[in-house]
Amino acid sequence: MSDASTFDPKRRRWMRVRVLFLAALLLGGAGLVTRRAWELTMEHGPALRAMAEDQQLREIRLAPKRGTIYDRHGAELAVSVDVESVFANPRLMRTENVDVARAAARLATVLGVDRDRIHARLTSDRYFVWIERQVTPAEADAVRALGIEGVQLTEEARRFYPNRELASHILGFANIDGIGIEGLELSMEERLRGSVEPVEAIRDRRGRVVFSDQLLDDRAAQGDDIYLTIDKTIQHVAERELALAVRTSEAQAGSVVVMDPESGEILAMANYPTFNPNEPGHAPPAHRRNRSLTDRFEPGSTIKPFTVGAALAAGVITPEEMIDCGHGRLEIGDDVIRDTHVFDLLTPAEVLAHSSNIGAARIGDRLGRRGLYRSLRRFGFGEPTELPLPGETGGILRHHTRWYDLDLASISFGQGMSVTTVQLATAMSAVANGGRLLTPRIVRRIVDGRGRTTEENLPRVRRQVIPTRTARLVADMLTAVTGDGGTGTEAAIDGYLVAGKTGTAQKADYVHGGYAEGLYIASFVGFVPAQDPRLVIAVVIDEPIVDHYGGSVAGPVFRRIGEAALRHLGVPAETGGEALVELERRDRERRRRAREAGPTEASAPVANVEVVPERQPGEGEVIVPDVRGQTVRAALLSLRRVGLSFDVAGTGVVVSQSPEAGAIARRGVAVRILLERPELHPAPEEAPAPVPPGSLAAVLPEDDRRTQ
Amino acid sequence: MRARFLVLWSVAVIAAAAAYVAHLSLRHHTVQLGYEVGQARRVQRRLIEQRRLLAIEAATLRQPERIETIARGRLGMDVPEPARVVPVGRERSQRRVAGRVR
Repeated sequence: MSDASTFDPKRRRWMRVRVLFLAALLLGGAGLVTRRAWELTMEHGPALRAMAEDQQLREIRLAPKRGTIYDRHGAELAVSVDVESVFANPRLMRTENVDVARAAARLATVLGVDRDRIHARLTSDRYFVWIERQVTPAEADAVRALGIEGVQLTEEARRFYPNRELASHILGFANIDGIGIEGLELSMEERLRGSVEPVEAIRDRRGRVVFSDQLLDDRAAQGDDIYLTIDKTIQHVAERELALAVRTSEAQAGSVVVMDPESGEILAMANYPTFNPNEPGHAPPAHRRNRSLTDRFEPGSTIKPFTVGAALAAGVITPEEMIDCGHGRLEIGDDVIRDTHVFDLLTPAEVLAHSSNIGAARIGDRLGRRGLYRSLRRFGFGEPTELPLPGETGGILRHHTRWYDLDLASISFGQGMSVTTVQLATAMSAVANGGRLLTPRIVRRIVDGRGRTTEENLPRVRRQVIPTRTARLVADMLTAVTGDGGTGTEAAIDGYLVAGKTGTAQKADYVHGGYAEGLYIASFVGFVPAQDPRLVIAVVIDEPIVDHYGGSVAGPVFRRIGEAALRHLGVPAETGGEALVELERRDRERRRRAREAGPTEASAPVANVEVVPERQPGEGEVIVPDVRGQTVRAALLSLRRVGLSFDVAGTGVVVSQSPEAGAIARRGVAVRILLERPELHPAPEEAPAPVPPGSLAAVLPEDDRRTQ
Repeated sequence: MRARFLVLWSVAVIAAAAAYVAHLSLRHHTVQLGYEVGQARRVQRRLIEQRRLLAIEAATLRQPERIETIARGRLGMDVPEPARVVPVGRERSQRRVAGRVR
């Protein structure tokens, strides 16, 4: 061990110099490191931090999923799903020396598309070309299996309409890029599309996303879901019946609107011809038109309830007043108005029931130009209904200052103005609900990606058009239209009271002026049940050929849609159940006859039984109690109480017993009791009236029909 | 004195090294969890998409037209006439109307 003190002083000095030099070197180095650290953290810190984040964080643009459209009960009407699309990088294929001609041939075979088209795309000078978009899973797998360099698959959202043609005019459709083109898909594009949200995530050296809090919840970017007021079942029935009517009457087109008069909710909006929104290109543009909103027509006689309602509300006529119908002829200047049938004096109710043009013209005259114009405007004619669907027209109702002399009369019975089917249904809803004009609604509520309701459409009353009492009076008058002698008997629904009005209007000839010969619009608008309206249905058939009267062409459509919709909604009929009552009566009769015809097992004599009412029971004998009409439990208790056994057949209540009540039997003897279901509908005292042919007979089973 | 300094120095170095190792380990674990979350998320998205497809399939099967065809054709069902429907516990409207129920 050496000690510093033993060192040579010269050597010690040299050693100190070295130590000092080393310390200075280390200090200088530390200073440089500190200086560099200062530079990096304080002077260039923010810039370097940003650069690092730029390298580590990756901005991901989340493609939003288009919102779903549901019916009022949550049934999917329009949904987006991810499907795969095939694309290629022709530049890369050239670099990798891929045989493009062979690749095109293989892809064409797998995808079933034109080979030359694919070849042309693969030989282009681009970095990205679509080969085929939105292919089936099987096609995607087949392309993947080919393993062609430069050909890849990517996921895209595709709009799908699972119910095909159902409500197609309401929904419209979205194109291959997911952009709404028609219908609600177009008008609600902003809400359905959602927003492209940039999200930051940390990435690793290979560029893979490691983690992002925001990525965990990408629902914020999703499009909103829309719940409609449409009822899928009623919509289906409306479309089915409309199509049937248009085809059978050889008409050009037709439209139907079904509305809830209390809320203004549209339950169905059907048009014909129709189209499949999954393949919109296969149908001509005319088939894609929502005629209920875009097509206006002269309403004809369907306007008369509003003329009469307005006149009653204004007090210019009374319900009992006799209107002079001029023996079927009314002259206004050089023009003559005629009725189909000749009438002299009619009450307002009869004017509606017989659809007298002259009667309506007389009533309109009482209102005057200004009064009639303002009344019809108050019913919503001449302005759009504000439905959130594209292309709606407000119809035509010229200002009364521009009316010609004949216009006051002709507009009173629905000529010289035009309306849409939706306007007609909305106006009739006001009559049905006590005079309140509601804004029709087709969107019930809108829900965002997280399931929160962001918008809820509640019933909105635009105005009180006519007093409630007047509306009810008009409703009562309209029930006569579907009654005997009315023009709309074909629209009457068994078991329900129907209020409505037929319309048969000639079509305007826009080429030659005036009205086209032989071309009509047949319509019916009404509500049911008249005393407590649940449905307003407007039916319009354009250019029917086989028949052209509103009552006979549009009336049956109203009836069939009404029948099915009321049944679907569970609205009870005023009558009903007669067929079941009749079946039960026959069943009872059959059983009674069978019992009387001969001894059955239940009525067969039982051993050890004596039917001698006068004798008193001896030892070991009992009197059999009367258990008829009792339930099985009560009957068994009665028999046990006296010491009798039992033998049960059937279910229900006791209809017969053997031995009979009062007989003397030995204890322990089994009493046979026959049970049958209790009578839900007790048989009437007197013999039932014979069933009128054509009514119940039609609904009874074959066996019963043969017994008639 | 010197020995004590060496011990303290060693402890400091070991502590620093341990802290660094712990930091690296936690960092590695975080990254690993990030990958796992990403994987789980992919599975979740696939399942959501699958559910969506199944919902569409169900909606297609519930098409009113299809249901009606099967009910009428295969099952021999028909719409009951009003006469065959017995309303139970119905509430009749109190309002009287002028027309007649057909």
